Amino acid sequence: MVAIADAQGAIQLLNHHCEEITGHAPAQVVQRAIWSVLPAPEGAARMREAFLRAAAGEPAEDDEGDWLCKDGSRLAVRWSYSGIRDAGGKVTGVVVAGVDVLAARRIEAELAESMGRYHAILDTAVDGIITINERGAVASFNRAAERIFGYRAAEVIGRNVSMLMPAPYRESHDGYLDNYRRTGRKKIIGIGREVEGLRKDGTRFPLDLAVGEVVSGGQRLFTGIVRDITDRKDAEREARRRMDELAHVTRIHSMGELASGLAHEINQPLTAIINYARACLRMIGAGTADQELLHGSMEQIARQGERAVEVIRRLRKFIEKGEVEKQPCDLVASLSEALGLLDHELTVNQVRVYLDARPSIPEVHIDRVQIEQVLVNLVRNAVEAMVSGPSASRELRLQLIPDQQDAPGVRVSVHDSGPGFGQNKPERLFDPFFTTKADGLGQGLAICRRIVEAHDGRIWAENGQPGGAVFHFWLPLPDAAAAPGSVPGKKT
Amino acid sequence: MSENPPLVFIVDDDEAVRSATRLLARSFGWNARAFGSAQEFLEALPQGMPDCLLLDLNMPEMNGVELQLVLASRGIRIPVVVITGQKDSPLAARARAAGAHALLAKPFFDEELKQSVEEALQG
Repeated sequence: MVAIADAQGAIQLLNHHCEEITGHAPAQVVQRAIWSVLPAPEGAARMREAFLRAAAGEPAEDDEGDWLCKDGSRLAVRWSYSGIRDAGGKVTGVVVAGVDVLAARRIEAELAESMGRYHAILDTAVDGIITINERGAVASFNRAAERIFGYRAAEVIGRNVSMLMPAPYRESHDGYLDNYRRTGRKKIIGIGREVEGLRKDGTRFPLDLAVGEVVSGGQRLFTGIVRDITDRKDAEREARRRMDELAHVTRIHSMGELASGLAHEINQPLTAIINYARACLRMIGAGTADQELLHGSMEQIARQGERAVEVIRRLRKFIEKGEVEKQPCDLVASLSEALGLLDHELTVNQVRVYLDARPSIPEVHIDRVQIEQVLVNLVRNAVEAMVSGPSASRELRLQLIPDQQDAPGVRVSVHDSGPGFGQNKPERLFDPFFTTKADGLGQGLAICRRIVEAHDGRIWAENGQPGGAVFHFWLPLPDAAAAPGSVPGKKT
Repeated sequence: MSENPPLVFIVDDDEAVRSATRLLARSFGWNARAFGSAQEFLEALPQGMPDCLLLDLNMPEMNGVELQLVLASRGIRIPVVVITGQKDSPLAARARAAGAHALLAKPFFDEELKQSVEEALQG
């Protein structure tokens, strides 16, 4: 509330707020002495004295007391005096500015309550909440942050927040703040990422950090919400380990299914070896063997022995557990190996295989064993789909070509001449436990999907032209997969 | 049994097995020819029939059973000894039903082969 009076104390004007609160209409009080209008009677003399001091250019202290409204009700007010000087420095009037104390007290109470609530929120928040100023000094440190880092708030407030960071984050943080101040470019604000924190006891731990910016009271503050994700990281590691286990178990399982084919593949060279050897022995016994024949036979025996060794080697490679390691790999060779493992099954079922692989297929970085598992799975599914149809028309077409999805990559397509999907949507196929086989585990395609997606790739299926079903999987090229922030090859 | 050595035809898609079996057959004193597919064998038939057919069951394009049925439909009767990787598979059962004289499992020993063929020749 503002009232302005001349040097003699005659009210010149009241501001709207004063008018509203006190109920005095300016027209009625103008030119009347201010100390006879505003204060309650017991305070009139004191205001007059202070006013005149202010009018004389001397300092007048703030005061507190009751003012009287037009309707006789009282207001608790705190007010101040300020002299108005002209160009020459002479006081020509005084401004009396008052504040409704009760309203002020109510606002203070609300503020205190609000602060109380704010602190309560901070204190009960599960996540650590840390605010820092523009220079990186910690302004607040909630209870959860104390728990996460092991420091009491008092030990941290006022110090640079980089004390909570291990190298190399610590050294860079001031630089980040500086950079943001200068360029305004947001690198982490509103974005959030995984970083590492440093506890009081010196241990490092993974944490999820979200940073927000607040401008309050002319000051810029940054709020960091931190969550200790050690547990989550452990769970992720565990999940990855289990996927590897499951993939391994499934390979063993399918190895059992491949067994009869492999037994056959080993029987072939063994049969040849035995027959050559027996034949030679008879001929030697009968005296009908000549050097050339024996030489040729020995050579064949050796070669067939090596052939058997190769079959075993291929099998062992397939089921080895191994660390999941991505290495540069020639997909065409992997495809050939997979077809080799399935040679018997393809032959027995009289499947004609057509392989379309451009020679210029770039190398991909893959876990060879796992991708071969995907290939074996898809090819076996294709064979199964075709088995119920006429044997003359069983065709398996494999295609390996460069393909651009969200990034440059390579696509492998397995096209069978089976019944296809008809009207059914093929998406469910990749769900775990979905199977149309009576004795199926329903895990094959789900594992394929996990493996392909772990390589940042995509796997999908569709009806083929002119018929049958086609399964595609796409893998990104090494550079694309390694680009930071690149989206894995998923179409939204 | 005739005094001429028997003529045995071997049909197997695996080259090594084919060659080795032919050598073995010769070591018994038989005459032997080998074919890489049922089709090849059928094309050579007009030139002269064998006394016995050693037939692999699992072959692409036309398998052993299908060949047996083709021969039967043409009224061609040749004693057949079937060679298979799995004696109890459905295909093996069908081969028996189609009139195979004997079933030999891979890998087979020379005596087994000699015996089976000699029995087949005796009819």
